[in-house]
Amino acid sequence: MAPVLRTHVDLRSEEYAANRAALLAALDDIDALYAGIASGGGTADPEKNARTVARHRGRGKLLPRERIGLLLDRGSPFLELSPLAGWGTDDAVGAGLVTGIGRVSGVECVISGNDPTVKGGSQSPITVTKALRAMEIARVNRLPLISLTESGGADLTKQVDVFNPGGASFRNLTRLSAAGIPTITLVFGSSTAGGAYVPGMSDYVVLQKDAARVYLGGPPLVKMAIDEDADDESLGGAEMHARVSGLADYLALDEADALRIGRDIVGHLGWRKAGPGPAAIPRPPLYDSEELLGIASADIRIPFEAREVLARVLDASEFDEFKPLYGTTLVTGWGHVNGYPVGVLANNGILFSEEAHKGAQFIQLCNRMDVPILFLQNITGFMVGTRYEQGGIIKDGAKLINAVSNCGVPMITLMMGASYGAGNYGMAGRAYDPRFIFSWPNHRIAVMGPKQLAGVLTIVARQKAEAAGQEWDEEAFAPIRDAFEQQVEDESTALFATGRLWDDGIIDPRDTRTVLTLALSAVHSAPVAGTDAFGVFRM
Amino acid sequence: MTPRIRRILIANRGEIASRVIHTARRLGIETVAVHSDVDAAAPHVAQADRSVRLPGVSSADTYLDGEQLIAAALAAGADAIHPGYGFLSENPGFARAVGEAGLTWIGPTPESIEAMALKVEAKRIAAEAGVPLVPGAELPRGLSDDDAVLACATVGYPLLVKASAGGGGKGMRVVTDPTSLLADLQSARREAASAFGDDTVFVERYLAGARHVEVQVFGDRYGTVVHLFERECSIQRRHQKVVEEAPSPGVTAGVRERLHDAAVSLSRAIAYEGAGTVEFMVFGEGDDQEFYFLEMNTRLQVEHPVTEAITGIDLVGWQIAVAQGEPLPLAQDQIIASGHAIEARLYAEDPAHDYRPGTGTMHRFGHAAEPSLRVDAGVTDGSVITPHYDPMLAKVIAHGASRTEAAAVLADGLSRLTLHGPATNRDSLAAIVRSPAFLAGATTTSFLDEHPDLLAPVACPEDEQRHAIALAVAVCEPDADARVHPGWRNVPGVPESVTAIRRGGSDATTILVDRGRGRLGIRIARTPDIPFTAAFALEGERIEDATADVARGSADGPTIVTVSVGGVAARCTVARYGDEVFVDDGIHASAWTLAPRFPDHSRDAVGHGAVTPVPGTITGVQVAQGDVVEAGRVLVVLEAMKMEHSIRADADGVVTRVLVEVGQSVDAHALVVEIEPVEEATT
Repeated sequence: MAPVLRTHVDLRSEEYAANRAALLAALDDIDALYAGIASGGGTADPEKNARTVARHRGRGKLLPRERIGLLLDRGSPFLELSPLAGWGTDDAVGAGLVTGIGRVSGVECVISGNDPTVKGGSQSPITVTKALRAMEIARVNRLPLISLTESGGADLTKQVDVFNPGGASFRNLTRLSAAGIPTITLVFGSSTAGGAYVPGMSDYVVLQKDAARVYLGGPPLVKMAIDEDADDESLGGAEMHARVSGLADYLALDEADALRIGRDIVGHLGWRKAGPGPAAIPRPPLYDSEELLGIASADIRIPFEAREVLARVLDASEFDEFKPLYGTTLVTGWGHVNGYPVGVLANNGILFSEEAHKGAQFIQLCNRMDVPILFLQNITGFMVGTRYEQGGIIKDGAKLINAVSNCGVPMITLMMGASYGAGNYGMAGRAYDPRFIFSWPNHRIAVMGPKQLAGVLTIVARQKAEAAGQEWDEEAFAPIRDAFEQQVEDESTALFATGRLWDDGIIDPRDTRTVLTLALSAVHSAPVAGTDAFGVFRM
Repeated sequence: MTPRIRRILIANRGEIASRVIHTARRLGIETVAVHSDVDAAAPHVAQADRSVRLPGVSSADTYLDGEQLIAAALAAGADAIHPGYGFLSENPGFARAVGEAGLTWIGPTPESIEAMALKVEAKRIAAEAGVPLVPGAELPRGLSDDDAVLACATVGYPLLVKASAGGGGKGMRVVTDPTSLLADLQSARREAASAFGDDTVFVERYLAGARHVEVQVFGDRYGTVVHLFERECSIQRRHQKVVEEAPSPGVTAGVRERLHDAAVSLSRAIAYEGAGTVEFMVFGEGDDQEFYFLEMNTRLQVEHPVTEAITGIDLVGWQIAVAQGEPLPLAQDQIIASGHAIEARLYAEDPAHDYRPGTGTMHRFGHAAEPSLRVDAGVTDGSVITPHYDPMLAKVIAHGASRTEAAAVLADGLSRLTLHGPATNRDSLAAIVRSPAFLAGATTTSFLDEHPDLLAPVACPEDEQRHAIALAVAVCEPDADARVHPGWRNVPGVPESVTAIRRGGSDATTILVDRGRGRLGIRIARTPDIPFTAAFALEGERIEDATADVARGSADGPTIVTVSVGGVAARCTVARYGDEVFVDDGIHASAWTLAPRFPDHSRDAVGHGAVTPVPGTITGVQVAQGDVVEAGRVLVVLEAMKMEHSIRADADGVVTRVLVEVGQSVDAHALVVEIEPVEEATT
């Protein structure tokens, strides 16, 4: 039996209470954002949103999340991805698209549905980024993709930023198909011009009668181009495509019927997961996940013990720690999440050469064992200074980044605190293609901490002034420095990061085990296989 | 001396057959059950030691076929027949034939039965025995209309027309106005003729606001007759008793004694043997209280358990003792009443909907095992309720130190019954015994007419809400061993939805279960039909503070959902049998029919019509506008590439348009006949 983690958290400490209060407040803010995206409309004006949604419903239409609710199996969980995409940008929060993973006819699928109440379902650059991310998740995890389409096409005011990535989305559809991953599109409304290639490139197409409109050019364009008078139905109606063009494989009578047919199609796929699946019977942790709210530091500068998190995430709080006495600021070892075996790398402080060595070795071991890896990031970076540079910390950090970059087994990353500098890279940050990456609300991310960045900027400015022979006025520079620090602070938040799809969503720390379980289950749809093909480890 | 009975054939079915078996077993007597074809799996058959099939289904072919019953008894080695109640229990010919076949008849002598069977004759005997009679008149066959009108005028209005050979409300009419008399007489005669084969009727003064009080008597062949106190059975619907009790809450001490005396003297007058009941109408209050003889039932009554409860006497045991020639076990002064007992008859009928009969499978029938509660049931888990026989499922009897205590125990026992099957009158019964009027003892035969609200009691809205939530959560959480919480969401607004029709209601109820970050948002929307998606657009009842925790026992057992609304939690058991779902929480029960998750469009023709599969020439048109067609019927014949294609209706419907004629060339996918599908009547 594996060693059991014991807790040392003081549930009555002021620190615990303060962390908990801060995280709950952050979650309340997120809830308010969720309520906004779930109710539709996509603008800051609730009355306008209500009118838009009422008009949509008046046509007998459902909101995208309601469509997904009907599409899913009863009892199926639904892990929504990138829900706050677009936060902090001039696009609507949520980007007018709902993506996520859920079970349809017993098969875990990626579901992607336009929200026609947000700018008519038109696609902004963030919408396309979010759609591409969902497709990527479908591809690397080998999950069938179901598109619930009703979109006005590209947001023409932003066509310069949409044209190229939009094209990639159609390419990706057929690449999924080529990889043997089924693609199914249900069209509930408009899917025209470039959007017509969503059904056009899918394996299975269901069009809703008297609702779907699928054509390259609508009546005005046809009139302009070839001087033909044509109506919507004969250009792109569902019945036409079902009986004449053959674009539709199935004709649905209404929304519910389309969803039923979509479920039937998935049911007939005979889809099987290719991964080994869970290896052990699930056992709950010994400690309450509720306590994670008090453990995670609200102030990212205050470190917290990674093992306290593992004690509330791993099955039976059991953790087989590897190299516990060496490179102690990186915790490595094995455990299970709801029966799924995982290797864990968790930060417990700054990375030194020893930690980099330890991590690189551990990642190789997980690849030998074909065990997915869980990265728990709370890292302010690699150690700097003469002693460490001379000790070869670049070479050692490179070993860790090499191991992460070439890792064959699936990596799942949880941002549970800070993520600064090359530490982000060595711990499978966004650029290192983890299969999934989720953040806690207290997460902060940047090249380095805001204070440090502002300080560096000040030093560089002073050196520049002095080199130019100017007198350095520290006081005059103070407002510039403070403004920059504030800007970095604002651009380091979890919301800012999630708004730009640097992660797959902010999660409630109490849901960590559930989210990791769903991610691991998705990961096991594809084969789980390690590699021995790493880059040259610099010695 | 009659030999001791060793093996009894029970010429009956349902709860009374089980009841007789129960006592027989206690006395060491073996039993033989009989059953019609639909009753082969009935509980009484399983309980008896031997059973004999009576081929057929109708009562006439089975439980009313005396010859077959006697043959069955002889074949199965029975030495006695217990007739139960109803069927042949008051048929003197059968009683006589049983004796002639060398079998012991557990019941009064054929002569006693005969004497009391004809109401007119019974009244004559009662009058001679000094028992007061309701003013009335005989209307012999052949009486002129004028004479009938005259005779009725002397009786006085309102009056009651009754069949001489009848019982159970058949052929009965209340006449309030002389002008409708002749028409009412005629229809009563018709009904009597068809029910009893005898159209003789008589009239009596109709005593509105009277109580129905009856006295249980017992006699033995040594001339001893005792009474076992009275029962009151005033609460009736359509002359069928619904709630019965002992003792009567409404008779004065003086009248009570006179009732007992009158019943005993009448029984003595006919040298009555075995169990019998003398029925009276009691009219008025206090010193003015009067009573009149109604009739005598020469058998065990349905409601005998209330007498058993207060006296501690097993009436079936006494019946057997008397039939074996033993003297009555107790003398009159040894028979003592204690406490109060109330019985409610559970019927497979829905009083809220004009007593619509309920049929189908009783998936589960269960009741609490309380010492003060007795349940005599004719059904068990899996019993099929058919329309062939009496719709009574069970009797629930409560015994308490006082009447109010008995009423409380009975109401509670009724509420806690597990009834996973067809609609019953359970809620109505519980409402009756909880009603202030009942508890005040204000029970007359017009009780239910005066309190129609008790037929369709309104459920507590919070209880209904909790049940709707329990139902939805149980249906939405099918995974017993899920690794994550079923229906888990990180973002709200992805609701699960369940649509079901509440029994007794016409609207479809859609429950939207919206989870998100540990919260449970519930919306309950009601729509006139099953809309599938329309309910999403409705605001409905929004319940934000609900919680629902699921605990599952066995994989195929019911789901326990503890639902809290407004801080008050109820532990709801949700049992599902196909589309039927039953929710019980101890004090409230509800039944639902689940709608399919998605509309069934399989029978809907897309475009509502028939289309050509290939291009060709029409060679035959076999329908015309307005024709009603069934799915599969050939509509049009098409010839293409020397092959003949029959184009058939793909749904039942009415032809609204024929778009082609013989000789016409048509494209592929051309609509040839338009059909308006027939909506299937929803039940």
